[in-house]
Amino acid sequence: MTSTAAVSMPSSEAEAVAAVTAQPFATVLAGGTLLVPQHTLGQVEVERAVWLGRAEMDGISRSNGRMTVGAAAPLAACARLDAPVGACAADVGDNEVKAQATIGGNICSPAPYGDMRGPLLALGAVLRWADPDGTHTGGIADFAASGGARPGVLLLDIAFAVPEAGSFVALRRHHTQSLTAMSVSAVRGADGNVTIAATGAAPDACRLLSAEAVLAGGGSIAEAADASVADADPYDDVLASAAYRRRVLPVYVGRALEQLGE
Amino acid sequence: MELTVNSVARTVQSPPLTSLLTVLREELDITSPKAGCESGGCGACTVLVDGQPRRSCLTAVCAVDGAEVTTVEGLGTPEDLSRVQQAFIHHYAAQCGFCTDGLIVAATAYVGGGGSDDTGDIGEALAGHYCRCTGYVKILEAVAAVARGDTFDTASTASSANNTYVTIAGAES
Repeated sequence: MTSTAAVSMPSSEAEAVAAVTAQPFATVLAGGTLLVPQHTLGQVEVERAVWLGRAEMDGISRSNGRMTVGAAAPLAACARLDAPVGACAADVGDNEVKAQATIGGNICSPAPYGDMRGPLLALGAVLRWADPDGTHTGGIADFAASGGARPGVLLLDIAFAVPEAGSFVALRRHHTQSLTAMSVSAVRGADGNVTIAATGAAPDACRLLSAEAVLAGGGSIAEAADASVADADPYDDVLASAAYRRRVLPVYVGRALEQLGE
Repeated sequence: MELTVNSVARTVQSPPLTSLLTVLREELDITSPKAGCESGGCGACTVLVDGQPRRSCLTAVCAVDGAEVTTVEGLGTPEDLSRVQQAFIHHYAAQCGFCTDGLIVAATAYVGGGGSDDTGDIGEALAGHYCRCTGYVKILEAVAAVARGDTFDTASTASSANNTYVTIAGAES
């Protein structure tokens, strides 16, 4: 059943912040790929919504070695970026969904959605968001700790240092719309250090710090891959069993590191 | 909200968060977009928004205010079918027909954008569309034929060599 919720259509980021944080707090409508069907099926109540399609929050720019991606940038545009962000965005949904879904919406979606949190965690991305108390910056974990996506909160953009190299591998799927059971992102920064993150290894995206430490200590890819299991918190769901996740994580960590050229 | 649907200006009364699929089917009585999964996963509700394929079940109608929406009804007429429609008939690319409308509009955008006749490219472009009859080979052949510039004689399709029915012994008894 469709509600009669009013929808604002701001034409700038400032207008969008004002509209989202005004009372009663508004729900953000970006690409709509999750919110619209949930709303159609009566799974979510929306009192007031703000659509970002005209807020000019979809820019992607590079300056001084840092990439800044507007929260309303569609995944189709993000897919043109280098790995791991580009490869991950290309792996989400089919062409029509990628053209509509946004990076901000993906970050704000609960697991098993939210694939983009993996590569952004590996990159140490800095998120900028607004709420009734002002504008804040922090990592993926900081945004989640602040309460994450909810009415009254607007993710503005995501920034990260362009890595020296990046890689992304995911469990292949039979159909483009199937959810990804597991993915691993790896990044080698300008300092030569390698950071690794996974989705599907734990209930939410997680860094694989033990594997990173093995590499930093001069260990091999195989040793780092084996160590990654210590950072996982495997779980059962409809996509995969905990036992399967535990078994395949080292395989995908190994592939990501090989792709990275370690 | 004002939309142009199949070249006709329409004023929409539904609330702004209503899906475009619901508006098309229930307010405007345009029923070619199908409510398959209603979660963006099957492709049966695909329409063209300003020439680009979009899932109408994922699209709030407020997001297409002022846009031009094209469904399969707007691609051709029974007397003058579009080339993709002709190809689907000629190559027997429709079985139950539930996925056909979404595939035809997506294929129209693909060939309109200069897509090649390579079945790998076509498969990639149409990857979000489920055919529950699993008639994918005929669909790929039809789209490839349009991309190649083939001509279609749909009037003779019914008597063509393609139209060979196999009778299974005892099936009619």
